[in-house]
Amino acid sequence: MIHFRNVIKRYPPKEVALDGVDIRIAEGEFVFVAGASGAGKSTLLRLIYGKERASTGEVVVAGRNLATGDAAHIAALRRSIGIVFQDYRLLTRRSVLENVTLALELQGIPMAVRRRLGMEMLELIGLSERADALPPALSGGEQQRVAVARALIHRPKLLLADEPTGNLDVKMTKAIFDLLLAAHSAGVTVLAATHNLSIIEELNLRTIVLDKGKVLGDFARPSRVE
Amino acid sequence: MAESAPAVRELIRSVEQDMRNALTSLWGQSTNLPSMTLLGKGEAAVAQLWRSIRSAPFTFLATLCTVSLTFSLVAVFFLLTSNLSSSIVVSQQSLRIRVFLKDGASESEMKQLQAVLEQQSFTESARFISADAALDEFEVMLGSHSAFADGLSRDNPLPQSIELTLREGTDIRQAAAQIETLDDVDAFSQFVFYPQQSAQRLEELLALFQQGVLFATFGLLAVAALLVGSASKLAIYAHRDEVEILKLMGASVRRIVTPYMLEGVVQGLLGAMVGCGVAYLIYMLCADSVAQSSMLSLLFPSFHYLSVFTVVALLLVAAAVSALASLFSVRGLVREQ
Repeated sequence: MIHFRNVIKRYPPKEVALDGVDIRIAEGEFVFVAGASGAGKSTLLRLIYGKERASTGEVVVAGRNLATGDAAHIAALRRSIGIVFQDYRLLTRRSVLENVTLALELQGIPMAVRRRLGMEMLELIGLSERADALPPALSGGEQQRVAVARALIHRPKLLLADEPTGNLDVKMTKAIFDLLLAAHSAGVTVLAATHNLSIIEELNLRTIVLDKGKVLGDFARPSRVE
Repeated sequence: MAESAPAVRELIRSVEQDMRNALTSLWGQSTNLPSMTLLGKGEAAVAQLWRSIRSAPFTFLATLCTVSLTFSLVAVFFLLTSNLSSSIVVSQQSLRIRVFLKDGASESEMKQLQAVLEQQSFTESARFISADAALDEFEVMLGSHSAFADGLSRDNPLPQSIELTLREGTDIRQAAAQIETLDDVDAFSQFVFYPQQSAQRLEELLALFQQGVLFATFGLLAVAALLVGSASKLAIYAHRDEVEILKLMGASVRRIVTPYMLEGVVQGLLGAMVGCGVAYLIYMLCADSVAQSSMLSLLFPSFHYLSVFTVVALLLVAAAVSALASLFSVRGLVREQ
């Protein structure tokens, strides 16, 4: 599903965000990317959804080399995957329901169908009563659930989550990971960047640890990550 | 996580099971979904336009004010130039062709010639001027020096003539040349006269004026595009977060740009309507003054409002300029992100 071949990402003038990263993530995996702030987790995800391009090396996602893809190619890739951002990136002038169904709207699905599927999704995340609310009226945890629902509604093959529980309490963290795990068990490949070691430890799933842009370790089933 | 790891895992597993079932059921309904019809796409674009206006009404109004001000200037410019152009055309229309009859031409010959001239496609009217009437006109033309014509009244040497008023848009030189080729004119007239120099000067003046107006129009529209473009850029900057999120979600450039272009069209149309309204107000305020002032009525002999063609053209150009300004602004923003 994802293949990094000796990827280096530099930011001018001299900052190296990723330094010779080689990783391969198969379809259907749930993988954590762990590391301290500035380790390169977000850069790695941004390379996968084409927000950044590798300075050298190759990033292949779902069989497509992103180094050679044009804007239309990148847009098509983004429509086929789901992305959850740490800062939610919800459209503040659109209702919760419109946010959740945005991916369907971009696929050209009629409004009535979008509304039906969106309400079901909101039911699933326990926010059906807030369907017409605007995102700023929701709590951080609720907004993040909306963001996850938006990323999942169109059945993506790949779900990227960048610090999905960064600012959330334990209860909300659990609710978000319930959703991610449910998506994974339904066949979605999940790649979640986090510095939350306790959740990594509890879930005991494959974890790639980054430090200063380098892969420090790739643990298949880490019983404990230091 | 305060609970012990196995307990948490168990809890997660049960919740995960329920959610997975719900997700699978939802995704099961997501296969082979219908696509939006053209009408649906139109509705979505209008809804997006309305949402954009509602979400940033002050930005929309500020842009609209800029567009209105810009196209008010353009409309007033057109009002002035179209009236100036008309005054040159009116001067051209006032030029007449005279066909001077041969000495001793009979009344029946004169009538025959008059009928032939009236039949010409470019003729608005053909008026017979007798020798006496020609002398009267000459005296009027001499004004305070009319005494010079006193000696002529006993033995009037002025020939009879037929004066032709031409239809609007007729080239006086071509008409005169055509008249000269007519058999009856050759038979019954001495010569055909028209104010050749005046006609040529007016023609040159009109061509020069029209070229100037065309050049100034392009300049003015370029300035309008710059002003509207800057206003659109500011307005679209207010939506930069939305543009970025849509791009991150995989929206195509066309999908992102279309609602903003539509907004530009609406702003352009409304702005041009305001501009035409301002020009109309100026026309209403000035029409009486122009009619009453001898100097202004010389400059604007038929002071009129913009033609329907000009108003429609202004609306279309304003819509196009605003839409293009929005297009370039959003495309720039999309590329930046």
